Amino acid sequence: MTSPHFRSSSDGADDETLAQLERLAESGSRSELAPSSRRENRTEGRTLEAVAEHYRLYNLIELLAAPVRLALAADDSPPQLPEYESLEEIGRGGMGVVYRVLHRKLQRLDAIKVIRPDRLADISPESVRQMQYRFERELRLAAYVAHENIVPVYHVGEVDGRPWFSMQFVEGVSLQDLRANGLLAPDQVAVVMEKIARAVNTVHRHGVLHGDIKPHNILIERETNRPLITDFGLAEFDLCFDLQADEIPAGSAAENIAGTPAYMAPELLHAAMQPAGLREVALVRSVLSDVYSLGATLWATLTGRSPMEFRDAQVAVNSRSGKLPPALLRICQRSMSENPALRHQSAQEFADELAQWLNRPRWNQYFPGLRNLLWMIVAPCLLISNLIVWKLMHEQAAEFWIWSIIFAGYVPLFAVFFRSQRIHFVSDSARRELWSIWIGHAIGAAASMISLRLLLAQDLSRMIPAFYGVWAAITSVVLFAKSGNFWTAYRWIGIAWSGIAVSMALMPEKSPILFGSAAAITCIVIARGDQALAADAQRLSR
Amino acid sequence: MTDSESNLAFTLNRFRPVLLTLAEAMISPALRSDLEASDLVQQTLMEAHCNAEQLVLMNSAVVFSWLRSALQHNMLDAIKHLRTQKNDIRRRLRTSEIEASWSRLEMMLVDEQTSPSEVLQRNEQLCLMLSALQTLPDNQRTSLIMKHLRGLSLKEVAEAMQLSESAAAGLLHRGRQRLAHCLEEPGHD
Repeated sequence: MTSPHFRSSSDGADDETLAQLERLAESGSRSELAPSSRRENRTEGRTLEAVAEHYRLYNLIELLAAPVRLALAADDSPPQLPEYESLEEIGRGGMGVVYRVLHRKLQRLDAIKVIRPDRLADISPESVRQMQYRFERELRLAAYVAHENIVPVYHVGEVDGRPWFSMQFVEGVSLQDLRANGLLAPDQVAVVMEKIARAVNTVHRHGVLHGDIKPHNILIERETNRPLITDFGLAEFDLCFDLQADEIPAGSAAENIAGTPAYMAPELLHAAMQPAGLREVALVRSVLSDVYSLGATLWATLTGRSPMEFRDAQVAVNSRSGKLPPALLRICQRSMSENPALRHQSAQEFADELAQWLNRPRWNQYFPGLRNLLWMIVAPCLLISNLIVWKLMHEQAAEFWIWSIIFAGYVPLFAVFFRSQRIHFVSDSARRELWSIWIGHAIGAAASMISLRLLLAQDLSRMIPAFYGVWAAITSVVLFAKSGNFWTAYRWIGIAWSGIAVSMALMPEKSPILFGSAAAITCIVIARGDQALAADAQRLSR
Repeated sequence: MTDSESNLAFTLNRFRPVLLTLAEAMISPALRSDLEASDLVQQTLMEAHCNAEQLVLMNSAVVFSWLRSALQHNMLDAIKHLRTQKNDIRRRLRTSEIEASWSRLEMMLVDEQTSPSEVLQRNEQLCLMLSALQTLPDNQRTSLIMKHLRGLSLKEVAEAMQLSESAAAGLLHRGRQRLAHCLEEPGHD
């Protein structure tokens, strides 16, 4: 039943040559055809023809039979490695199984990751070998780089055709687990991602690309909260698995993609769709594709959504990610630009932008006790004290009482600040600034009182309105100064106070009422605004 | 015979060579003298006929799955029976080995992480190959099963078949040629 075509090629190589080809196929080194077989065959052309035919048939059957063979022979038990004592399986991903092991000589707990052979069953042996080669090369390079945020790799090897490597055993959880358990506060995410970006930058400087940055590969050590990045060189294996599992034809429902492709730069995804996908991906990978993955990881961790959604509906991002701090959103948008030239040009730049955001002033969110006191006590006190001043002015009361009541307005304010000292999580620098700025306000007011008294002698009807004008101007300056480090809305309140200072000159006799009402309203606005900010911060930190 | 019954008969007939190859691949050389793959498959198909009422309602993928599970039980029963006869500790080990192999095979055939259409297509190709193997002469089939389904090396195949390595290589190559021919031109045989 054999066709003439098969018979002729079978005749082209004798059984001895076939045995050699068979052994070469088993060892996986097909390119080096033994020279003896060349001599034994009559013509080189026929030899090559026979080799090609053997190669084609062997691979065809091997590929078809691989799943059954692996089911019959595959063994998921940990590989037997002489230097390690296997303890338990601690994780199982798309491509690999992670075991906790004990290094016999060092009595140290390590983790070893072994590529699952059944996952490689559908890939041609040639591609698997190339992937293994690149995997080992990158791991060896990564092993040179020592960084506190990189899981150190100890050994790389292959056992029974299964590539494996050993690394430090990290007691903790992955960022993906944390993400799955609920949203993290933007600050926490930014701290983790800044450190990871700096670690990635270090390996980039050594000429190594990670290629597979995603929340699954970022571990948070339990005791120290230290983030560590792992799985160098596994990108191709993971991608291979995900491409099989997720099928990403162009324009498909992309949000379903959960694994590596979701965190992959568009240019890599495009390359992966090509017929020679894996090779293309290996060529296109760059520092900028890693930067994209960093941004995708940041975005996915902040929002809990798949980065694919970001890619699909960039326009809607602004409205949908509502509560995401705008500065962080800008960092995500820049690092996830479709055009690599628009992204951060290094992981370092990405880390720097995050650090800049982390170091922003954000103290106003941490005075919870102050808020209620501000509108419940300070506001009415200021209103009442200034109404009394107005009344005393009309009744032409003694100057001493007028100044006493004016300066009594500072008492509830400082009492509230004093109260805030007992709130332990108010940062010291914030507390210092609060005290110094308002003590400065009081000193300024006292100085203007003294100078006005010297200037206008006994003319109380001109002295008090003039003082109120200066007092409002000082308040305006103080609120303006606070807008830098506290709440940005202080700027607008400061401008309003400048307006009040001017309008006081227009109705001098009403200036205490004007001041008192404006001060009360300011207290209420600040308390309310602060409350909204704090509620946001609390919601996110939960 | 009703339409659905003839459909079932057709399906069972189609899966017979597939089951036969699977059984032959599962039974390790040490057990080959005691267990006959064709007996196990025959028994499985008879059970299928007895359960025809239930099976006519199922599609071919479910029937295949039913047949696999029945074959697995029959195979394990047969091995246990052998064990009680000869009380061989090695046989006890083989039972667990075969059980593990079956469960891995099931996991592979009903892979939840791969899309259903892909699984269907791959299983279809697999069945085609397993069934085509049965059209090969005995020695070619045995050598291919050892080499590609049990993962033995050329040396091991040659030893098991008591042939020289070059003879085994020739056998394998000719077997592959023939198998490829069957796969590339289905219905030829």
